[in-house]
Amino acid sequence: MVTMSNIAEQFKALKPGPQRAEALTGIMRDLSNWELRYVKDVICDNQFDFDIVGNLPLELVICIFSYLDTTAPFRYQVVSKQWREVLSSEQLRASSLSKWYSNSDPPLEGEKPEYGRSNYEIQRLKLEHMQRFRLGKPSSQTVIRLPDHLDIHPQLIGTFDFFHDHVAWCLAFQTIYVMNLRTGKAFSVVGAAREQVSLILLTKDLIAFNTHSGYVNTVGPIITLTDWRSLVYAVDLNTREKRHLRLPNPSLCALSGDGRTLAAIIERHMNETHSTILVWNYDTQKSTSFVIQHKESPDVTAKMTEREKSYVIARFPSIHTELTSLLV
Amino acid sequence: MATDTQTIRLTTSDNVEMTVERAVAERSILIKNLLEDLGGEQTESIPVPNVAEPVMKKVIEWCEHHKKDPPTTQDDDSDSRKKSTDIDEWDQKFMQVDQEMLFEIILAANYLDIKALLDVGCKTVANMIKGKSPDEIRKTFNIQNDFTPEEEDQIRRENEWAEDR
Repeated sequence: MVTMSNIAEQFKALKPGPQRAEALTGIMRDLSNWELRYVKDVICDNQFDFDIVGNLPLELVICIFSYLDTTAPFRYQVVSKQWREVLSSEQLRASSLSKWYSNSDPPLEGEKPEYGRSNYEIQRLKLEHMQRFRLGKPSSQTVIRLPDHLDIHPQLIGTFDFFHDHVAWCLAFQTIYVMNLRTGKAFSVVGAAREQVSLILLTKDLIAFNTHSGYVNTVGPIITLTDWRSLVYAVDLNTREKRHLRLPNPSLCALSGDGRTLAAIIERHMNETHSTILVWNYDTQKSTSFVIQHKESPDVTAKMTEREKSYVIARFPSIHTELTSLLV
Repeated sequence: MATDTQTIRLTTSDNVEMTVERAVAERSILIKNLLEDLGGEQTESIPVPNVAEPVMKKVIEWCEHHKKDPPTTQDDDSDSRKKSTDIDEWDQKFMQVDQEMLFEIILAANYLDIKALLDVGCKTVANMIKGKSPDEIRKTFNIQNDFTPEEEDQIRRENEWAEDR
């Protein structure tokens, strides 16, 4: 006799796979619409929910999390014990980090192993730095105080520059300090005769500054210079080797640079309609100069960028902005 | 001419034999390498012991559609910073399966070495996670929170910095 339970028993006895599929197809074919609706409801109740992350091998979880932000592995550790175990993996953190850090990046403060931190702590700290950067919340703020005894002239504001990791400032118009914000290391440079510094400039590779020495004599409307020397010094930020370039008289008006090349704009006399631009390379120590004409008063600032063998110099005179593109 | 529509046979883990166009099956680097190693005309059925028939059917469906895609190169992966979770429309529809099936497809793509399908699968899961709170994640994947309230609180505090606030 065929009973309900024994149909189910017989079905259970079938091997999973084609046999069962065949039996099911047979049963389904015989079902009325009402019965099919019942089956549909049962199927809909079963969402086939499945803890995908908790069950995949680590390498595939890493693949999934590579599409999520770097802090996701930390945020979701609270989901379950299984997730915490998978997401705490060092490999997963390393993979998140590789999106933002390369091995050649110098470590930030506290990221070095010698601070007695474990690898986990360092990785976490790096990711924390990344997260703070992403959200625009700085992790630390450093205030550099200048010694009180120094007479700080308001003009000092002009003698300050920063680029990438470095910041440079000038004290007492004489000593220039360069500090690497990443490592906290600083060094100072002065002109050969401790002459007065007027302009400073940081590029990716160099700290450059302009000094002058000598006397200015003013007799009525006539200005004469005695023993006037105007120099541009450049110090390699890595090797700290100092090189200099002597400028033709009388004075430098603007200093710009990119990488290992500097550009100086020199005004021969106030109110003249031409200036000399001098382009100098730190490595070759060779310079090129040319004269450009302008209608207005002398330039106040200039910006130079280096592109292959061509330099773009943008000048900002008091009224107009002119762009000069030069091939050197 | 025969080489154009050359077919091979695969035997899945549940002992079902499938006939598949060779070019389609070769989207799987595992099968492609295997066929190359064996050389010549393949008459024997190739066993695929890690993939069951319903999953294999889905995988083959994907391979059919992507038959003409250029093969993925190594440097596609070079800049992981640029990884986006965009999925093309057909793939999105294809991935509208239950979570268990999605899991099986990812495993199969990994085993069969079909990089593009694996990426689509992982992206799909990433999109399911994206923007959700831990509690929403538990609901989505039907996960039991097996931490005590104290433990949960501690882990939450430990990882507070990672919150998107």
